[in-house]
Amino acid sequence: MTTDDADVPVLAVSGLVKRFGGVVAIDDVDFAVAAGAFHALVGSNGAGKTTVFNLLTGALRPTAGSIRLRGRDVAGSPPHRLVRRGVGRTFQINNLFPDATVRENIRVPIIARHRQQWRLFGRARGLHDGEIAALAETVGLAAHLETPAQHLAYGDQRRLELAVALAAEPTVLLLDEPTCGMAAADRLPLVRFIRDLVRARGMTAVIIEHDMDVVFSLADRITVMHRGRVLAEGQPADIRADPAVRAAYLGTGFHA
Amino acid sequence: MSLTSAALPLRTYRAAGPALAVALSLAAVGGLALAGEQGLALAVPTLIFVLFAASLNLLVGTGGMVSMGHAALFATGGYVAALLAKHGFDMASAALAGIAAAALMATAMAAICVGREPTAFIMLTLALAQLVYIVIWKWREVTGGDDGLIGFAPPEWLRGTGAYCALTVLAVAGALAALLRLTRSPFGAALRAVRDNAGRAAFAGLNVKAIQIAAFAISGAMAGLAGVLLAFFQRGMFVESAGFATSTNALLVCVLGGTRSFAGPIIGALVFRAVATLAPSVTSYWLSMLGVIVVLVGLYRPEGLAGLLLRPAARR
Ligand SMILES: Nc1ncnc2c1ncn2[C@@H]1O[C@H](COP(=O)(O)OP(=O)(O)OP(=O)(O)O)[C@@H](O)[C@H]1O
Ligand SMILES: [Mg+2]
Repeated sequence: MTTDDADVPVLAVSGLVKRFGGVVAIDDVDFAVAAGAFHALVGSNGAGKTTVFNLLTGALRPTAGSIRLRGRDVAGSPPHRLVRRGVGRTFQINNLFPDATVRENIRVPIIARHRQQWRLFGRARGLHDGEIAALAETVGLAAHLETPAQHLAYGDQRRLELAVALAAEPTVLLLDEPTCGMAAADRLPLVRFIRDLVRARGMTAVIIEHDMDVVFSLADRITVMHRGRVLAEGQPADIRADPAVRAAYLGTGFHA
Repeated sequence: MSLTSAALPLRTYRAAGPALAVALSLAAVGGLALAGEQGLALAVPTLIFVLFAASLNLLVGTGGMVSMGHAALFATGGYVAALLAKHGFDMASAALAGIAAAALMATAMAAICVGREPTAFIMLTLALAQLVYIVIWKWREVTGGDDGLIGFAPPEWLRGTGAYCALTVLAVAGALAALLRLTRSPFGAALRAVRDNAGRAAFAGLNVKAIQIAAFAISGAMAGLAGVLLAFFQRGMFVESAGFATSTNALLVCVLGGTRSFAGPIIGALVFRAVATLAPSVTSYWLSMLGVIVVLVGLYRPEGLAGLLLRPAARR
């Protein structure tokens, strides 16, 4: 059964393997995320970070290994079922309902959360408008509720990406490079904002982030991946000092 | 699915659309009624075609699923009702059984076709409909094959063209009202989300396949009702009802009228019927010409005739 004991990790992955044909994208990965943590997943391009998220959210089926959500093995569950179990995600590349307005985008996961997709009559318009407005306010999109997602500025699309994920009320939020494509100076404030939001809502989060200054200053714990494997895991200070991490990152923008 | 993916903000005329569609339908039926018995005999199949097109557009427009096999659902409804009526069941029971059978056939079709590449989806719906066509054609003992299935009639009080037309108006109006409510319901919102981005819809917590199958079942029930109405009007079902042209004509009027509005397929169906009735006396190439027009509309005015009629100011 599910428990909220601090000693049962919210998310525990062990022996995770994913092969694409002959390519081993994820090679025997283990890691655990403690309840309430703001856990960073880092690694160079192609390390397998997004693939781990795809496995955690049911977008891909693992070749081998287990994924435990509060102790329950969920490997192979389809995405919509994992969403019901509290797993939410944002995408590295904006993944929205482009024709729909900000309001309609945020409404979709709220409808799903209440299982109202099976209501054949009654109106969608006006449904959950209060909650939608509050979420839009939280991420700073209150002025754009009636704007189609595709007409938003890029940065606002990133915010909508976050709002749509939050609207499902996840307990575990997987953030795939929320700062992707943003100016360096905007990254730290955005990730701090997300971390504070995650804490205020009692969520657990895993964030993929390339900017190591941001990671070192905000993450509680860091998992470093390299070529499909876990290279190191620990507190920011340990990771900063880890010789294997330093070696793997040499010349790839890692500066401690 | 390039037929439906052209993104245009259609909100502005969404409210006006259904009103215009109703007005046009009433004008068509009223005008034909003035022409007497013969006019009414044209009005009935026109209304049935309107419902059939609107049922297809739940899949094509709202659901983004371009089915080329909708005739199978129409024919299933008509043939099952016709068979039961022929074997002594009353019209209401036969009609309900026809509608249920069409919904079931739609569910089976969806279970096989949904969740595939657009091209595979189109080919599979087409293939399944051809299979239904062949079964009807070859299974003479039951379906009458190419002689058709005859030997039944509606009850006494519905045998006049006026009375049958009145029933058809009520049934089609009721079904269209239900479809309109459905597209505006939370289910409709979920179906549009699945259409626009099935991947994200799943991560928003929606069971994509279940929603698509449900849309098929509802659309099938509506297409089945259209088939039932035609069966009792003709007092017979004929194999062409399951044919390729039945599916493609409906798809054609959805695109002609505009798949992204509720009114579109209704307007498209009315225009199609008007042209099909009037044009053959002028040119025998009318269907090919209509086909060319539809392709042009689809390419250059994805919002269809509904868009042209309802939003002239927004044309660029
Ligand atoms: N669906 C797929 N089919 C085949 N190979 C894949 C697939 N998805 C990922 N890969 C491969 O798996 C490896 C890991 O990719 P992944 O996207 O997980 O990296 P990443 O760590 O997220 O990189 P980035 O920082 O660039 O986003 C890459 O070599 C990629 O080509
Ligand atoms: Mg990635």
